[in-house]
Amino acid sequence: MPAKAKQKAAEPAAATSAPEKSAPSTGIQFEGLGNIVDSASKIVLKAANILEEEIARGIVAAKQIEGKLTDVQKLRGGNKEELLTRFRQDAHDVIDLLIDFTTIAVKNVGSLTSRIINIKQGGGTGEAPQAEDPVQIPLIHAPKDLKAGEALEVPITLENDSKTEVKTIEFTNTALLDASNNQIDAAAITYTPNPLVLQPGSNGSVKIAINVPDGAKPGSYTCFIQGKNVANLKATLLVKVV
Amino acid sequence: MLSTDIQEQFLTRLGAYRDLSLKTLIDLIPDREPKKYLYDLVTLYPKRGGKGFRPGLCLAACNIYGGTTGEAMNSAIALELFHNAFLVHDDIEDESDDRRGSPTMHAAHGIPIAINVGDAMNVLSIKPLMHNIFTLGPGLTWQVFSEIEHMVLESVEGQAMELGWRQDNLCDLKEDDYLRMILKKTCWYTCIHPLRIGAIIGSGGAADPDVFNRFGYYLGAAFQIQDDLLNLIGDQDKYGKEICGDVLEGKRTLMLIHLLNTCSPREKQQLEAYLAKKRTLRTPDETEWVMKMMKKYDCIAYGRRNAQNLAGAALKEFYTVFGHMPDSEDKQFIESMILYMINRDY
Repeated sequence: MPAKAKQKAAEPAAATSAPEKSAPSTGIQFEGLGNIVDSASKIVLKAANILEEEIARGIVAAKQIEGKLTDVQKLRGGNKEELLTRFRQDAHDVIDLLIDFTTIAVKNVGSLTSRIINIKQGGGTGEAPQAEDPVQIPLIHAPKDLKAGEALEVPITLENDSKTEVKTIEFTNTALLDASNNQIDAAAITYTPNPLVLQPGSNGSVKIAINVPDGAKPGSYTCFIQGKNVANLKATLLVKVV
Repeated sequence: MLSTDIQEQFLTRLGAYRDLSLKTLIDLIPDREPKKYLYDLVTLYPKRGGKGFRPGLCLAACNIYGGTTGEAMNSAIALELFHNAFLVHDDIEDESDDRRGSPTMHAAHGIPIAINVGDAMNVLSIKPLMHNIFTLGPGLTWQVFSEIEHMVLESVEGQAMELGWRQDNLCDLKEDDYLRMILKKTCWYTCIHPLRIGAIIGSGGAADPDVFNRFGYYLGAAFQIQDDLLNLIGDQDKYGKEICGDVLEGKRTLMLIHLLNTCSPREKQQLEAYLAKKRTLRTPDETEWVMKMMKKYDCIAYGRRNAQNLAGAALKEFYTVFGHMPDSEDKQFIESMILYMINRDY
């Protein structure tokens, strides 16, 4: 199932400070480990990134299965107010953003997508907590195939549906990987503006620039995009290099 | 180090979960022919006293999240059967001689029989998952089944990566490659899914299983590196497998990858030539030379350090995931497992 699972947005353990609970209740002795818990460790950070990448890949795979089994257009039209984070199709209709709320119809397909994503409302001030309904992570398709050395900008509109909270979104992403483990460095993706500031109830646009480096091998690459400081903002970017 | 009391409590609980799941597993095996060439062999590996980490994690997580041992037992024994099926086939693929202190299945009974026994274990693991329908209902049964589907797929993909590296004699691997491979080959099925499944069952589907991904990955990675370290420097009587078997098999462990990335070009050339040979053609002198190189380049210390770092990260994640749960023997059991993973000598 975690082909469709996502990791919580918490920072990797080694990148954080002391554990929330600094001493175990069970009396375990920490000889040789006490300092390790707090110290930044390269291998732990690498492991955290790899886990994110693998999960993001799984999400794409699940989407592909979903696409074969469900009529996504038919599923749209549900109560979109229930969507907590919104990536919208832009005016040129070039981006297919599958953020539709998963409905019973999807569940009937075989629960393939019913637990894909849990984009949950961050603790907004004074707003009623939202039900923990499953929502799908948006999948952003680059609108055209790219060759090595080519670049493309994908405009995305985001909506801050909080009535009170200003959202400052700093975008970050993992490296792009294809099924053969070919990799394009994370720096190939940039954002303008970054960070993006959204006033309560307002929309804003960010341009995602994809710069395929010379020498990149052909393949369907994916990466995981998220807002560094907005826990529930996540998307998967799919770029086909031909 | 674990204090003696804590370690004894941990091992007692681990043994209790293992024995309980083994008994249930044995009851599941059909009492009919062909016994000599199939059903008697299905229980051969489980009866050899595996550690039982997977059922232990699954049952403990279920209890922590409000369920009962009985509710998770079907899933726990399915995990153990899948695990043993992997081991039987893995031993063939690796041409391993020993498993848990005795000859491997194929060494004792031949490759064709061993492959078939592994197949049977895979098939038999489906039955307890089907039985979940009577105790868990259709929703949870399906959820557990989809967890298992992902677990098995990831494991075979990870195994394919590792086998492919050896077949093509890849010697330019990096730490990242190793971490990705063990996530897929080991961590999903050894730690992440047993925890996820236990919590799903215990909470009646209310728990978010994703919270275990990072914890289970760090724990599983620490476990795998420690296992690879024991293969290099462990006590064969305790460890149960031939020491340096991984080197003989050309297994791409973290320590070997470190060696390939740090030794001199000339040494690397020699190492590549060694790894290019068939296992049977690798001489003891050559294998000893590889071990000397590992010592020269501090590969053991490097592996141990990384296992400890990952265990430290697992400990941190443990407090994040389980910190708010009431203290219990099962919670202590999982906490103790983290340190046991890197302190164990078998």
